[in-house]
Amino acid sequence: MDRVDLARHLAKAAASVPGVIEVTGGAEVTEYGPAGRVSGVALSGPDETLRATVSVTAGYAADLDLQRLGNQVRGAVQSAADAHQPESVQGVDVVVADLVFEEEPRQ
Amino acid sequence: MATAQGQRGGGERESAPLHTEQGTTTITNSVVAKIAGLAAREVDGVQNLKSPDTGGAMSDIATRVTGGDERGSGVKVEVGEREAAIDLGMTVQYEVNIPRLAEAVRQNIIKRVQSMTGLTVTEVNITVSDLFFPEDEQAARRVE
Repeated sequence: MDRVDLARHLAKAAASVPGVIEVTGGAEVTEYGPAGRVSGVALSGPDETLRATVSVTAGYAADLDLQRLGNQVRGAVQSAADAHQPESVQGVDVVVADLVFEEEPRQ
Repeated sequence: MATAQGQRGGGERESAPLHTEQGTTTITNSVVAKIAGLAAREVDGVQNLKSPDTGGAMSDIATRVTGGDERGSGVKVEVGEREAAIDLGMTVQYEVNIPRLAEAVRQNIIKRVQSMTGLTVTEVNITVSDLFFPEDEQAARRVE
């Protein structure tokens, strides 16, 4: 299995969750491989029982609920993993690494 | 970075929101600090936040160097698996009742951090490091 390829799918799924501004993990939470690297997603464990760690930057909102956001990211990432390769990923740990405030919409 | 990772499996005594069978959610110190800083600034009478350790100098430098936003500066946070302890330094406007203002800040931080992160706030320690007089600002402007 190409882990970098899988990681790309998972990063995309996490980024699509409303409230997630960015999927980024510095050097620590990054999947490395010959096909490149994916920041914000790291896969660990043997291929058949992978565990994914996903690191996200959240956008501030008055009704911010980071536990709910974490669950939504976990759900989206787990679904993407199951669609890509059924039963490969056995759990998704979410790190809310940063919080940004966007007074003006970013261009 | 505080982390709740690695605590999976049957040993847990209850299913807290931080832990699910499907994985954990970790909220870093800097995120909690920003939420707490924002909650403190919301309270009328708080002039500014300053690190109680350094009088604000270090956090100001850190903010400038990193280019990061300063919402979390002046706030020190320790995050455990389900709990957070918060130290905060602030300057307040001259005419306020400091104990009552501090209590309002404490309650607002507890409310915001708990609702936004799901963490239980065990303590909020507040240092009032200076008073702000409106004349100060005017005098500073005249000098400029």
